Amino acid sequence: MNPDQIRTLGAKLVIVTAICGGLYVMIADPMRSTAHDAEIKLSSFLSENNGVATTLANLPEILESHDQTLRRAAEYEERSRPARDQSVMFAQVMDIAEQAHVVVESVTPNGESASDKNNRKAEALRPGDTSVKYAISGRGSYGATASFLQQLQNNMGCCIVKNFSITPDYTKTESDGLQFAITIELIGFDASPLAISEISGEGSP
Amino acid sequence: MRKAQRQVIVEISSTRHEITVFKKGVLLGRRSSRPNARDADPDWAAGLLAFEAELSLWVTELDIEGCQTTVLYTGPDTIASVYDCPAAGGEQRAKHAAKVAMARTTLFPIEQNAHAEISLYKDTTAPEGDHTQVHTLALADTEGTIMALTKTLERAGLRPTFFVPAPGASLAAAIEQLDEITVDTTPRVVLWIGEHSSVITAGESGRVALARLVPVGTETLVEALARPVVSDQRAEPLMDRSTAYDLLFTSGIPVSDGWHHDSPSLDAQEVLPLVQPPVQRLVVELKQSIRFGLRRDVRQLVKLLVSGPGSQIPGLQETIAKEVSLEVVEQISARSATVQSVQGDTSAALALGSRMPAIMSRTRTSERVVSNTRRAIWAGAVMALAAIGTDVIASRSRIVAAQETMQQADAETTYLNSDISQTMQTALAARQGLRHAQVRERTLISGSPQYAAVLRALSAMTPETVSLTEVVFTEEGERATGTIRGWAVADDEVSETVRFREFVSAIRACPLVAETTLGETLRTREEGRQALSFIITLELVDLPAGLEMTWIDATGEPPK
Repeated sequence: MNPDQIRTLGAKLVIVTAICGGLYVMIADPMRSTAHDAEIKLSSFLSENNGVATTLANLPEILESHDQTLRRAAEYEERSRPARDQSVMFAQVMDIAEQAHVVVESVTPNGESASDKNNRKAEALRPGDTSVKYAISGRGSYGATASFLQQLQNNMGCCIVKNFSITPDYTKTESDGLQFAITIELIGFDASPLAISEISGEGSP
Repeated sequence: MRKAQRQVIVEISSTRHEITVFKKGVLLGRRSSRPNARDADPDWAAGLLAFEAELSLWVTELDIEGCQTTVLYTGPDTIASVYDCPAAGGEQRAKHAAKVAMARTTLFPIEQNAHAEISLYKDTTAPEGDHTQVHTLALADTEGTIMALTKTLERAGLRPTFFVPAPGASLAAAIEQLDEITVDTTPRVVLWIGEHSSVITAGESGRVALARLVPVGTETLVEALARPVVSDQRAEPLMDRSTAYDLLFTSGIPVSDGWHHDSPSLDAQEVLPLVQPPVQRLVVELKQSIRFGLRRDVRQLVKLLVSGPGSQIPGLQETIAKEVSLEVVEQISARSATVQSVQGDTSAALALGSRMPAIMSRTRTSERVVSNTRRAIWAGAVMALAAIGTDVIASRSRIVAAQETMQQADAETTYLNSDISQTMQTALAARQGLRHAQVRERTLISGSPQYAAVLRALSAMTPETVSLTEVVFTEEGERATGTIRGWAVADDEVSETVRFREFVSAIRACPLVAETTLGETLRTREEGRQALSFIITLELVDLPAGLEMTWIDATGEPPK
């Protein structure tokens, strides 16, 4: 090849190389960088949202816990039935009296616990809770009366003995016969789901 | 008919111009002319220029315009020689050595002119104490000759691709024929009689012992026949070149026992002296080659093959064989027979086929290199652009894939977040509701005394000498208070006062009682005995449910 041919070919080579290099620098390389950035962004996003997957993996456990909560809430509902339903209350009082070997002579609704509305305990109740009082009178031995009291407090939902009195039963022949008068307060708790906004509101303990 | 399949061979020498067209080995057409030596231009280039019009006419007649053409020529400066080099050095070194050796024999600089070095044969055997050789054919010609041929053929409408110097073709063809006929240890000699030169090769199986050019060919014989003969003080030729050529190839070499020809005016006694010198030259060259090229012990065993266009001259082969006293072998391959039927150096080209030793014009080589380089640049550019395009497409695909994955992941995450958040909110609300209820229950229950426990404790603390007439407990505010009414009686040992004090002490010691306050106490009589009536006010301790049973069990006393 003569110098002219070499020069011509060299010029063409340089031009072609420049064009190709320019195209690469102007188009291919930026797109490659963009693709790289997009992949890094995607990787970062997936990494950041890995917690969702963890939560998702723990979801069965959360649902199991939720089921337990609902079961316990149902138990509360069951325990609250004497406070919400007078017939249930009466049946349970009679059952307890029979078990404790006392004779219940009267069960009288004593109205809502209006006298306690201003105290701290009343403030603990939330809308949906139920609080009713009953005056119960009857007869029985000292031990039976104590057992009756114990079962009232322990086996009849949330039952608070507001006051009681026992006096000897002078009308009977048994030496240990007593007359008792008990005022109880039955409270039905509303264990239904509570929105977080309600927690800090009225009725919070 | 497709022109690409045609093989066009143009043969150009100072004495003959010929064009031959083949297709797949079949002769399609042939044109030939013999310029009269007397009219011929002594300048080779000028003679070539004069041939141009005739060639153009032939190209048109044979319809071969644009066909690739092999040019078989004999130029004024053409160099062709075979150089031997030890095979141990390799073919490339042998070629380089041949080039260096050839450069010493040429009058023009090799590097600036057309040249080629071709390995013709590599020995597989060697005499004892000697090395195997590589036989390299070196060809060279001036750039001017090649360019003149190129321009002439291009102007005539042909596309010259190979330039084959006729001596080089003869050398290559002779060596190939030697290899073809040397099938055993018997040494063979091939005498290839070309138009302007002949080739003598000798060798044994697997070895070429010698290969040399002899400047005697058929045209030498024609020239001899057309030479002026001095008789009666006049020097006139017996015949012209064309007649001499025809006579040579029809009647052959005159022999003493009978020579048949068409011209009654010719006598063998007149013709023989004309052709005898070149024939004798061939014989002498042949004898000398055998003497110096082959070992003494094998010289008597040598067999001779006469081939090339000169082998078609009747009687020439027999004359030579008789003179050198060698047994003559016949052509063994069909192709060799075909080659023999073609006149001129074209037969050498046909014998070699695609292995023709060709040289290229340096200008054309340079143009070809430039063209190839330009093509390579464009191909490279196209490949680079394709690579860039592929890269762009790949990057674009990556971007799209990443964006789609991102959108999908974003949507899934949003959905999961929403779903999980809702589930979590529900679970949390339920849990909060339950927890709140538990807290409220604890708040309310924890402030309530366990009255059953108090009654049981009171029963346990009350001795036989103390009787309770009324027990009243009531919640007052945050605390539960109780009032116990009763009386204590004296017994035989202890007074009622002591009994009462023991009772009060027992009450005060009771962990269920936070505070004990004595109210009214009166001396009285009960059941006929001295008694002390009393009123005791108690403040109770809040006792968690269930704990009272532990305390009762600890006393070991059954409740009264």
